[in-house]
Amino acid sequence: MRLRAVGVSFSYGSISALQGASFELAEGEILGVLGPNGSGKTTLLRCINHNLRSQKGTVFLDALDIAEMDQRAVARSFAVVPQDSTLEFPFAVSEIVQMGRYPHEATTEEWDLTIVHGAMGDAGILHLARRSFFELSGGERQRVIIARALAQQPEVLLLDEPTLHLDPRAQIEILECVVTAARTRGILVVLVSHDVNLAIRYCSRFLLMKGGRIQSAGTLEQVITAENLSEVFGIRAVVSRPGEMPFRTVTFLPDSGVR
Amino acid sequence: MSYGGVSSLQEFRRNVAKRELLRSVLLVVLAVCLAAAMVGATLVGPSRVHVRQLVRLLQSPVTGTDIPAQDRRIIVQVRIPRVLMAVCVGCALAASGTAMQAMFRNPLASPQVLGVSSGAAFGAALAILLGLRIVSQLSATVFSAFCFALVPAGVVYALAGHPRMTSRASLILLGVALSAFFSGLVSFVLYLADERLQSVVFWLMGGLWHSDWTRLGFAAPFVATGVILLFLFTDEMDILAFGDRSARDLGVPVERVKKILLVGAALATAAAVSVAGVIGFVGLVVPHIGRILIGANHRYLLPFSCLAGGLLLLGVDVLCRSLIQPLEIPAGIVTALFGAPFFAALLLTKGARTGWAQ
Repeated sequence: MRLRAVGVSFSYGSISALQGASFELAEGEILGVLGPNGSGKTTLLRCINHNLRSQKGTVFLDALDIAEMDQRAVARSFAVVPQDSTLEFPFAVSEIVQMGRYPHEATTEEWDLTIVHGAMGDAGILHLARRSFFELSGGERQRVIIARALAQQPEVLLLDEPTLHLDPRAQIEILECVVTAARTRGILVVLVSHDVNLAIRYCSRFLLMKGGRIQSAGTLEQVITAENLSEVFGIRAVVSRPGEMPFRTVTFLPDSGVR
Repeated sequence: MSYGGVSSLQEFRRNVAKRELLRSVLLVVLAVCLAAAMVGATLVGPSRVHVRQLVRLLQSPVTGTDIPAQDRRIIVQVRIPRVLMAVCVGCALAASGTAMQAMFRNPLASPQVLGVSSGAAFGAALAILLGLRIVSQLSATVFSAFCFALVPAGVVYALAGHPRMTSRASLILLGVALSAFFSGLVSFVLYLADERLQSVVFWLMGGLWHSDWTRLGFAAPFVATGVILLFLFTDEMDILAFGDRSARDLGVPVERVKKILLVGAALATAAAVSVAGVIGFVGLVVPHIGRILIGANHRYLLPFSCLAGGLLLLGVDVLCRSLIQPLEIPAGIVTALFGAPFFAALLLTKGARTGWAQ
């Protein structure tokens, strides 16, 4: 499985949000898309599964052109976890995860329930099955949405700041659960975030975006450097790796230095 | 690994099956209640009909012994079409309300609140005023009501996606404006109507006293077509509860589904309004009761709304024709008197945003 974007561009009316974005992602890789607010990260993510129809460029899943697939077929290959989901009516957790089976038309109810059960197990929400979505905490809600995404049995998982409003523990737990599930199921992951340190922990490849363009792309060593981050985020960045830390850590500092 | 007792696949399947069974049982109970209420409502009215006569009438093709001609006429020509009409109109309004709340993600939406009923009323009134005939006058009325029901529905649909229509209130305010606009047009028609005034006044109040087999024969197929259109998209209505963008990510062709739902809801509403005038609050209240009793899943909520809407309007109609005999109270007045406080309560509780059926 290989995901390839070639020169994808999108503009909202006359305002250009994404210009000529290209990248490649191979099986087993997790792509971190980093950049400040308004840099085009979410637009890129939405263009990948054709939620937004890019005006230029093409996205390929192996040899398949996404633009030529119908909407349900796209939803069988791509699942999205947005930053937060607002629900209007009091559905039970298991009903929400069952919605993930919608793109798969020709399956039996019994098989659907098996998949739903597996997805809920991987997301760690089997004990919440009968609860209403409204009663859940932010972290639990996000797990429900992850389970719904896994129930789609996608080949690519698109995460749009999935831990934005969560506390540190929930952030780590959510990403651990997604990454584990993706690994065991062989799903490609694209993670959009502006939390650089969180992305460093989980991603194997990186895109740095600014003003709708990809500024740099590649591995951790190639992309996550003080110069690149300072340039993209417009604030002084220090990349360090203290002895006791397993990952390098990025700290952003005001120009006036440390007070 | 075990999570609070619910762990194995078998257990999960059993729980889901239990939930679905419970909901199905509830629907069956409701259907039985509706059937019983329909029989009961046939007996109530200015001249009492005994249940034994009804039974004998139903047996008459077999036994050959008929009941007195006058009783027969009351039952067959007056009561039965009226009962069926109440169920048909209640079902149409409640099903349309359920679909509108789902497609606009707005628990305050209903045919009346969004101005669709007023649009239909204007269409019907206009057809009566102009004496339009397409095959018959009645079919012209339904057709004109449908066309004008689509106007406010289309405006709401087109503007609901506007970036500035973000809050729940703005959609409702738009509906209020549309309602006022078409009510103004209805008043204008009324002003012009002079001698045909009587039949147009009827639209303003809403009621079932004009029920007969001809009108039922016109309304029922349109209601059925509209409601069946809604039934085709129950899964999509569920998914739309997470918003258009999320629904698209799950593979729902959002715009197409919404357009079909809108046409279905407008068709059912227009047919109901053409024969019974504007009867408010049924479409608003019933889906809420349904979400409390049977849950938000539209595969169960929509049939619940159809049955409960029929039952509710049937009950209201019985009240209307038995409270102050021999006078009849228009059904629209009764639903407004009960519905308005409910709507106010709904605004307050929903403002807290904690959800209803917990």
